[in-house]
Amino acid sequence: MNDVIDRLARLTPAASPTDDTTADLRRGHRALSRRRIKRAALGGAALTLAVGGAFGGIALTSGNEGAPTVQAADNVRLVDYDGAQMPGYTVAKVPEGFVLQGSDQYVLAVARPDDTSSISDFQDKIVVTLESPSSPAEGATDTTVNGQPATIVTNSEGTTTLKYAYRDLTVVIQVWESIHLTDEQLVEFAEGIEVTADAKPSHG
Amino acid sequence: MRRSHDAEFEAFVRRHRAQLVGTARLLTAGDAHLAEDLVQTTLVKVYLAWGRASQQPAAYARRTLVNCLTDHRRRPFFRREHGAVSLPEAPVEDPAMVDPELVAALAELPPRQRAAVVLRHVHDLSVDDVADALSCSTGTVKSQTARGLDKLRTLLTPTQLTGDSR
Repeated sequence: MNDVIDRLARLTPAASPTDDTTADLRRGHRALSRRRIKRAALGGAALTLAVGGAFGGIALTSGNEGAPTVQAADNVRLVDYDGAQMPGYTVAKVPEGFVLQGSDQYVLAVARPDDTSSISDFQDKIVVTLESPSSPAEGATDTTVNGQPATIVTNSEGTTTLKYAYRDLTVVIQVWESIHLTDEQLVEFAEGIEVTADAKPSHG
Repeated sequence: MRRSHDAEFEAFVRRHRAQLVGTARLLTAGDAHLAEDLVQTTLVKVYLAWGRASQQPAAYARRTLVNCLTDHRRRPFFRREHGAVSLPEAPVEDPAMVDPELVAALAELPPRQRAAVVLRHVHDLSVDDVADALSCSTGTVKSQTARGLDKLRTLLTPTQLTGDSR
């Protein structure tokens, strides 16, 4: 008896193409941003944070803040930052043409001046945050920030993350691939970061 | 890299979204609003996993859709609301549904049994593909579809089973 099977076959849904895909793409973007924040909160390997040290006395600021630094990267160089600082972290150097887009207690975002996205959207930015200590990501290489052990890794999306122990937490700095910051420049950027008492770890 | 993923994802959505909604409507026994919610959730998950999903996005989306439905059924509010004891007279308003009686009968099947029947006999997927979508063995697919078909035959009246009366 194939009666029911025949009737089921006639239920085959129509498959006309969909023209408007923007809503689904927008939901995907939002979910991706939420996931990145969550990973930062959970100490996941997807986020990169930068560390400075001020909560109880570890000073991570480098001693050569005064002089502008020019690196050998193709399209970007680090310059002294002399603009207004944001709560949570102070910054000594930024990629040329970049500004502090904003911060809350958990994230500092460094972006291009015309970037109007949320600071929770990490695309095309450098973001700095604190998180709980976690194991180094697979493939991470060792480096130092102000003489302290650090790890640096580039993930499958092309973003590079620098992690650095700060007291009982970890400073994470994530750089989007489109900024073309070298690992050495990322370390130099990190050495110009100072964590202030306003900063809180992402896990709350 | 992300823009490339975005373009691929958009092309996938453009090509498969309508069919996913249709499948979701069958899996939800004609609940168009729930079907749309499930498809939206499914597409978000597909987007987040595009690195893996892009190899076989349609199959990945089907599997995700079934999982989303299963998750939905497990929610307490759903269990409180689920109390149907008989076939509704007009369960489906969607004009795309050509057989409201059959859709109503599908609603009486357990979710995964219904999914097995829909994927196997509506979408004409192979037993292996259905097993992949449901994350179960082929033996389970065969037994679930057999039981599902038996129950459908029981639920539908003999006059309905004789087919088109026109």
